[in-house]
Amino acid sequence: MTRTFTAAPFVLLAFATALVLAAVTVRTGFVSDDAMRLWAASITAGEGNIAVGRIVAAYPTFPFWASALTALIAPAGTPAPALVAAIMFALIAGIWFVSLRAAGFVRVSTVLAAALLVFHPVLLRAEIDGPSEMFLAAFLFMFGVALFDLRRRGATADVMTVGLALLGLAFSHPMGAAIALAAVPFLALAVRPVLVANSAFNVVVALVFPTVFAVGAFVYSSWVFPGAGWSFFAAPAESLATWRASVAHIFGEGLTGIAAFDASLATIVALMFGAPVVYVALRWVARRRPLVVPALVFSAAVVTAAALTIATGLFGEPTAIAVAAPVLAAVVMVRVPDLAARPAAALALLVAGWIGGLATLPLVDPGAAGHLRAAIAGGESDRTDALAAGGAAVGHDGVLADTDNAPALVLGRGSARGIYGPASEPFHLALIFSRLDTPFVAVPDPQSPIGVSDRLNKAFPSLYRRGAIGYRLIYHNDTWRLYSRIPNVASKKDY
Amino acid sequence: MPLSSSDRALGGLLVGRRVITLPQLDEATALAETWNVRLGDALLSRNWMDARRYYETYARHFDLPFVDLIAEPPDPALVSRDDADDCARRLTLPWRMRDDRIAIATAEPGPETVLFARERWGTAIEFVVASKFDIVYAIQTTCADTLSDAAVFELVDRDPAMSARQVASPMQVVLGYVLLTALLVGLAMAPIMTLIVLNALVSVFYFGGFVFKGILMSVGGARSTEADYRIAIEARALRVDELPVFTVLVPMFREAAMLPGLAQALRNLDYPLGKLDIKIVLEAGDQETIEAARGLGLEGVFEIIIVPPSTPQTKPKACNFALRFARGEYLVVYDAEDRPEPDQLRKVVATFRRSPPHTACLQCRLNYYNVSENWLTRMFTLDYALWFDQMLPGLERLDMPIPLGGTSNHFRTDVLRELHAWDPFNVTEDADLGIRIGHKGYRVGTVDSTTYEEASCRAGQWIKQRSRWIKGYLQTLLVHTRRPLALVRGTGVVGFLGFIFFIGGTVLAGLLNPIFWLIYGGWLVTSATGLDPVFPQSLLFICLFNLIAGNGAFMYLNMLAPLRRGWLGLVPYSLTTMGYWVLMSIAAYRALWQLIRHPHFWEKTQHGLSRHPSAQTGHFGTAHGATHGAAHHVSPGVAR
Repeated sequence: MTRTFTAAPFVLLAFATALVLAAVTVRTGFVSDDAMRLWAASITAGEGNIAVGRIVAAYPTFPFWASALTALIAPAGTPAPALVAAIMFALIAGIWFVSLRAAGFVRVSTVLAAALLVFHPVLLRAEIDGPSEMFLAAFLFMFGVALFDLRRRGATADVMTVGLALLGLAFSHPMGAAIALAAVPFLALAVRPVLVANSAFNVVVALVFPTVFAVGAFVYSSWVFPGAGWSFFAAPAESLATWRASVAHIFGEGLTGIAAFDASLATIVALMFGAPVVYVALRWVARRRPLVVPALVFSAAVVTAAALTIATGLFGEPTAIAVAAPVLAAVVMVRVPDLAARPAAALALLVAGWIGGLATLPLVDPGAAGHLRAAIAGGESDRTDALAAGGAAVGHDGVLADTDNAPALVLGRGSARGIYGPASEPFHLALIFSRLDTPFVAVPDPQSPIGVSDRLNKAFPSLYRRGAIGYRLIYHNDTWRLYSRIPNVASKKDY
Repeated sequence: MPLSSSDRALGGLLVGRRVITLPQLDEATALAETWNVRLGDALLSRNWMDARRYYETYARHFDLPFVDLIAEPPDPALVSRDDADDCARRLTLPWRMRDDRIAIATAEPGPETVLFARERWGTAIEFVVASKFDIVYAIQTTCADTLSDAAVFELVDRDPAMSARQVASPMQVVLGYVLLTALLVGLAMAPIMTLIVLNALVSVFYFGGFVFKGILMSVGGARSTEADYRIAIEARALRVDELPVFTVLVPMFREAAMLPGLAQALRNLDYPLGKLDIKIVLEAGDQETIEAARGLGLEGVFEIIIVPPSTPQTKPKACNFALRFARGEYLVVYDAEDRPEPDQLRKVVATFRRSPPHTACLQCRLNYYNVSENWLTRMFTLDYALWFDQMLPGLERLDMPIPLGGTSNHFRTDVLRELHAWDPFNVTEDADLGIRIGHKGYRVGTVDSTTYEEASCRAGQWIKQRSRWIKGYLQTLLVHTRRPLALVRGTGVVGFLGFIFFIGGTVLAGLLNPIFWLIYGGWLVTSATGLDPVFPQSLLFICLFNLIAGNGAFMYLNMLAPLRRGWLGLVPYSLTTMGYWVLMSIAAYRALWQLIRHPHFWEKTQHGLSRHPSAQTGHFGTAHGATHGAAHHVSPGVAR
């Protein structure tokens, strides 16, 4: 209880930092596409504008449910995903602080170590990226700690924790799903040899059952609740393409020319530089297998997951994997007792990891540098324009817009109520009959990156430039135009 | 502790009269000194002599007459029914009047007996010696009616609210009637809304059930193995001379074939036989088992208690009857087919010494030795592993009342007597007693030691056994919810909720599952929309979540259950848990029917059907037939 209490100031500091970061990044548009999409969807779900089926089968499930629930209970206009991310960030900070104290670090060392781990550049980047990566970090930590306990103690509760951590990973982030899948071949190594000798296969079955069953249940729910669909497979494919473009922009053909192999190498480098404490500590305890094997299994799962992501294209972009470095460092700090005995060396290694994390960030997240530059320069115009267009739509009910493509529109408006998005009937009717009949229409410039994939632009190619019969322009900025239906004028086909 | 001078003299006399040999005396002396018992106790734990000859010599040693209480039974007028308990424990009873003096028969002549006798029967007394078996037998026969009556009615008379003799109290009947009326009125006035509310309540119950069991699993699974190791070490380190007398009750009915294995399992216990007070409790009408027990030639530490015929003829009644004769500080109940791990009693003593003073009982783990016989025994093993290895330690750590398992519950004998022991009208008297212990402010703990039993390997037998258990849970639920506030006071709110979910949840799930399976199956096959109004979208989501997550969670819990023992071969069988639940539901409905028709009928589980005898499992040493050739000796305990 005392330990938990002493962690409170640190937790509050982490929470405040996260909120400040959220405010800055939202204002400058330095928010990832995934976070934007989640944010908009959670607002929509919180207002009851999404069918139960889409909520049940939403992916990534845990962050979505948490954000939707927050949007439901928080005052209107609360940035739910940012709040969830901040809460998760603070929670991780608290758990790490308490765990470090429990591992034997004195108070000063604990504060310094926790600060170096929690405010690690990679973890801050993950916090900015939204609740998905925070959930990923939390479940990765749970996974890492449970691996150590499983190898050392092998109690039923440890098997259960590893199983639930894999489940949590799979439903927190596509990258988490990749890690859960990649971990399977290595899990047998993390179990006590006596159990493996008995039946390695059945041990692995017990470890992965929750995840496999939950995936089956997820698919079944998608079938029971019509409309839920398989959208979670589509988004990762788009983000992977964006990531590939960023990689090519910075690194050209890469090291070997084989993208999957390059991603693995990048991950290894990111782990080595971002968490040198891990590999130095393993050197110290090289003869004590129960301390070495879990860390190696963790590393192997993460590196394999990076390759798997690129090779299959099923799990989106691998940037989120960067978070593994500070998480693994935290796991090793709390589970390898030798580090508490050498706090000065441990802290020096954490400092090195902080610098290494900053240096290797572009390696695993090539797009981040560009986003950061744009944000510093005054914001990303696509995002800020969409936010502004959403702001202009405040007070107008019945706005037809492709909010799946431009979730920032919902954020700028602060509410999904009154917007006819892709899940609504007016949107379907408009696309099916090529006929506009809603009081307002919001459409981006088809020449802009966001306008290329806008479904209204595809259905009404001249809408942005020429408008539609019976509609007049009431707002525009560099990217967006908002049209209003002229009263008493019957709308016709656009062309 | 060195042998007393009196015992040394007795030893010399026994050798002189050639009752035992000199090497036997040396060995018995060494045993008595090590165990810190009298020479007689050490001698009777070995099959070296006829007990009658021992007691004759014992009488001569004290220069007292020896009497055969079977040939010359005591005068019933002298034996007060109220004194029966004390007489049985002190192995002393008034025999006959001789010249205005009461002749007191005793198997333990000595200062304490003299003081006890003077206190009870005044100073006009004289002593004769009789064998302890004769004294126990004489008390059984002389006070049969009184003891039998007390075995059946003591709890009902002293604490009627705690007895299942009355299935439901008047208040429970009224409450049930009110709820049923409300349901019918609801169905008549607003059927859809009523069904939705009912559906929602059931969904909440299901959700609560699997979350609760998940928590138990997690808490129980995280039980410190270090603590268990510590107890194991302390158990080994216990000095033999400081071990207390331990009473072992083995109620049997028509289980003659199990006797040799049982006797051997008890001999295998790492506990001085001289400090064991073993009672084989048999029903008067079960002549076959009585004859088999008498013919076995068991050592003097084994006593046979014959329970007079009366109704209900249940195991708890037999245990209550035998409890009168218990002389141990602690008492354990084993079934005939039980094979306890040898160090179990030592671990129990060590755990009692570490436990809080209000610990009344320690439950050991139960599991099966015929695991691999067929699908049913495998599933039953998973079930037991989940229950005893994970759930009960979870209940213990959360300080919730623990329903005791059928056997291997170790009691503090004085507390057991204070609580009026088992309820003979409850067909899961063990579970009921566990809850009653919590209800009365005492505590049940668990011990990391396993007793292996024989799993029912035939579906029919299994259903009968499970029906009895579920009927007993229903009885227990009804008994302990009669005074819910008293239960809350005894166990706390969390303990009360734990009891409702653990006992009530087990029963209710068995009853409700088939209804929901039928609805779900019908919907899958027909895609009928008739029930759609009862399942609005949000409720459908909760129901679906319960269906999927509940099934997954319980399968997973079963999957984890055998890990603690390293029985990984059972892991894939957990995927077939659904099939096991079908059997469970059949048993649940059968139990409900029996509760209405024959609430106190005890459906006996037949043992000895397994093709996998315990000796072949490797868990134990010798079992069947390995009795040191005891049958060749005249056994004092079974001479009658």
